Amino acid sequence: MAKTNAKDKTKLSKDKLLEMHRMMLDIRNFDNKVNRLVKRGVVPGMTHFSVGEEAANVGAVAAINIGSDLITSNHRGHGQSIALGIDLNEMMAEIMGKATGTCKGKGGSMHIADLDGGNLGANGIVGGGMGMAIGAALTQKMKKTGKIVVCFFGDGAVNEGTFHETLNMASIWKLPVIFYSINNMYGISTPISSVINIDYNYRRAASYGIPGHFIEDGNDLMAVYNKFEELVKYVRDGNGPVLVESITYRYLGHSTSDPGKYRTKEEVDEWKKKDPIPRFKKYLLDNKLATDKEIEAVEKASEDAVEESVKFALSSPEPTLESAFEDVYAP
Amino acid sequence: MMENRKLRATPAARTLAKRLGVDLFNVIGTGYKGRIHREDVAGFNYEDKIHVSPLAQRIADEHNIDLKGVVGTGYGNKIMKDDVLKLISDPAIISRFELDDFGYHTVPATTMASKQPKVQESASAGKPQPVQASTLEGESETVPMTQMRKIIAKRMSESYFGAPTFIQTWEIDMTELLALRKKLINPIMEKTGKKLTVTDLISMAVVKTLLKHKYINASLNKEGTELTFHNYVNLGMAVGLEEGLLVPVVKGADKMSLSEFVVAMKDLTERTFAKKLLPDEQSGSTFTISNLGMYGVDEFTAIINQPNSAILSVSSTQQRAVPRDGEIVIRPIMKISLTADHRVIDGLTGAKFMTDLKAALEDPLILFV
Amino acid sequence: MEKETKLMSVRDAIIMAMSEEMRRDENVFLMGEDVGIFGGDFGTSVGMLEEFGKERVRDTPISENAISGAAIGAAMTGMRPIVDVTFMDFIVYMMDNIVNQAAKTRYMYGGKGQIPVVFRAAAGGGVGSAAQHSQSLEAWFTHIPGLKVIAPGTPADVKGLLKAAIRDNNPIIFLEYKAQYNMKGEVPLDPDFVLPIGKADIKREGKDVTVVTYGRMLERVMQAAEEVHDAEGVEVEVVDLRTLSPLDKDTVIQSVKKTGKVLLVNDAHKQSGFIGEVAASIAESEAFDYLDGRILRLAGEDVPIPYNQTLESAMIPSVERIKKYILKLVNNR
Repeated sequence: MAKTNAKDKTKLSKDKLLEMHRMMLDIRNFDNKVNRLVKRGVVPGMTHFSVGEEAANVGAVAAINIGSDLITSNHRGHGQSIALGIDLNEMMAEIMGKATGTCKGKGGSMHIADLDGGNLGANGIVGGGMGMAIGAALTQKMKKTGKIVVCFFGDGAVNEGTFHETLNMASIWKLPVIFYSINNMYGISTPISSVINIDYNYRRAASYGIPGHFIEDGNDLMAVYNKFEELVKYVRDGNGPVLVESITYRYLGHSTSDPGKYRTKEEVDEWKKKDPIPRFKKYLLDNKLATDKEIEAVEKASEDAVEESVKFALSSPEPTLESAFEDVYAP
Repeated sequence: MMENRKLRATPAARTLAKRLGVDLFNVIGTGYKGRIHREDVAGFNYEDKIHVSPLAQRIADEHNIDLKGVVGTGYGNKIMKDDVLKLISDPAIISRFELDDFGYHTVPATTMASKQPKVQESASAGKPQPVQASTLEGESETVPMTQMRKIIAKRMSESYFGAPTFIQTWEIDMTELLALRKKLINPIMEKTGKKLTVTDLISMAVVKTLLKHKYINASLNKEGTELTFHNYVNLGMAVGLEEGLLVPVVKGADKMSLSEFVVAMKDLTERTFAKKLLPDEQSGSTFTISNLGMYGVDEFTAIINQPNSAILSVSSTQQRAVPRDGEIVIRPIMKISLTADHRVIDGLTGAKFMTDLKAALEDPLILFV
Repeated sequence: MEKETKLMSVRDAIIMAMSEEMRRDENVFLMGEDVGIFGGDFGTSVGMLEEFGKERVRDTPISENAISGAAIGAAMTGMRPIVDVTFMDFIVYMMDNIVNQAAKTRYMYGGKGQIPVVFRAAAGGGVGSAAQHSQSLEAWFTHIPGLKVIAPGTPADVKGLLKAAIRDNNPIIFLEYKAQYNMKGEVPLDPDFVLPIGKADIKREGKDVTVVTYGRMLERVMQAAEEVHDAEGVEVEVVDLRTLSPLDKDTVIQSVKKTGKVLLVNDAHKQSGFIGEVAASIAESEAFDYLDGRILRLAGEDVPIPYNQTLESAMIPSVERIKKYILKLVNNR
């Protein structure tokens, strides 16, 4: 665990720091809550949790221009969506399949999106968002908007053909994309060591002649943030795409229907010791960047917001039968 | 009527048959393996269907050639263009197959009905009478009933055995009507080119009178459970051909003027003799007239044409001595009989109708009121 | 409005359509393999690099997945890309992006966003290109809600419908036929000549039998109709579907009600081919009671397309066979 040096303290305001802490808390509280709702049978479908990966997500999102820059996501998209500031009420309603959800109950957890806010959406196909990401980046380049795209994917997607094709195309056209692999070291049940012949995926950047970056401790929020600040500037300056990989761990299973037989309890516990949220709290307190009271206020606000979202979702109406036939085509 | 015992027919054929009341089992199908197609039902008129391609038929019509009996070389012996062209070039064949303007064969002996329809069997026609033995020692000839006869037989039986009827016979003094006819013959000829007959005038009187007597112009359904009153008159006129009885129907007779009726009736009659009557023109009547006057019949009663509720039999007009104002005078007298279905019409209703009809026939100017 | 037309090939009509739309809207651009200096695998973008430059006439690596993905991402963020798939067989590499992403995104996002992208694919055989370069795969895409599928059969229809497709806000699969790039016809020169998507066209009126077809077979059906009219006096009504999805069922049904007899023709394989959908639509509609014969289908044989030209020709409906089937119906077989 690297000690943050004093220089970092001056770059970010207290508000921003607390905001980042709040983002992580929201993700943790939201997903834990959904997990409990699933066990109670209240959530009707498939969903994937980001519990444990908060720092890896928030650190990246906090470094971009939220609301202007674009992201694409994968099936494990709660972390990015919440970090981008999606309305928790609508998100909870969507997960419960209600008409008030972000997608009117027709998309579910794997297709949460917020196009106006730059969130081009989670995706049910592994690697499915990568083509979309380079296309969005192509638009920004052709229209000279100065915006960039962060393409989130996991360690499994790197083995899809689309990884190769999209990185190659982005590299020849110098598209403003940050290809970000959040490596939680397991596909569903296969550990990464059994599916790749090298140690880490960031090394693949060399095949495309683009920079490859590595964040060894993806649970260190500031480490992730600092790295991304550097990458965002690089890409926005028109230098072409980059590939970056961070190491983290998911505390809950792959999805709601995963008993987790492929990893040991010891391993999970080891990683729980590196939990990003208490670490960041300690960082804030140790460096006198925020007070106990301030942090507690944020913690409470987060819990309240999540509770509120559950109430909202539970009391929301189901979508009508007619809505199943709407929005198949654009007018 | 349409039982689906392995009957091969297209949906269009079935739809049309249902609408026209044609029993599909009577229809010959020209499709694959005898499948019945729409044109088979539409062209169904009791005659052997001529199976011919549209182009071949056009050429045949242009050259006035009758294709009856011709076996073609197309699918299922369909007559094709080449078959017709071959006929045209063979002079011997042409004379055999020519038609005159009314569609009558110029060689009467072996072909269609002559201009004078004979309902009674006529020994003088060249065609052998199937049911009559020629001499006591001679041979009989047994032939199966033709399609047409079978259908007539079925319909007559159903009507006769299904409906309890009663008959009223009335005598009509035809003096005024015959005078009216004399006056109208020329104007009608000028207007329509057709000759006005007494039957036409009788028909008009019947039609006008019917509208005031709804039970006489009604239709009872087969089960005898539903009675339909029509606010129009489709007049059926029984026409006897050598092969049997046909009943062409003048639709909407109540809305026609005398001239229009004359034209319509002539046209239907001609086509009846030419056997070019479509099923649509033989169905839908609300009342029927059967006229045997021209054969000198004194009196007779016809069988009701289902689903009508009554039929009028018109006999011949004969000069008779009758009392008028205490004196004996000679007048042309015609007998008419009403056969009525007693399930629908009772004696009083029938009598009322006949009273009005008699009044109209004896003083036709009432019809203008 | 100019009412002038000019005799031109399908290829030229395509170039004209794309160029007009690119002049009209700066968000429209073309991407695909060899579309730039080479002018397209079938010459369908000759001259466009010179006029529009390499940003808007964009050569790509051989990466169908990335090409289709990029097109979709660009479409989602405000551009209007045209993708030159080249041989339709290669669209198989693009299936995930077309079927799982483009077709479904708007729906899954509850009505937010749109994906205005046109995938132009050269379908069918007839040029000796063998099994992997001769397929017509429209049936796969008509099965997917969210996609539109267009298959025109004349140069004028190609121009009018390609322009309509580019202006439409949905992902569209646009079929062109390799064997017909040189086919000539009168094409309106009006830059606003646009045909409606989802409307079939009666290319020939008749009362004896209806033939429903589209794309490459239209030419053969029209010829067959002419020949049976001259030889037998049969009047054929030809319904050109033009758009497969959404299907103009109404026009088809009204025509079948009129004639009572219908033959369906396409060059794709018979089994599970698109005309099966048309046949079922007819059979379940009000046209059923007017059917005066079987609903017949004439399609490509259910075999991969062989290389030998004689064999290949025999695998696809010919004018002779079309005439034979028409007469079957006319003769109540």
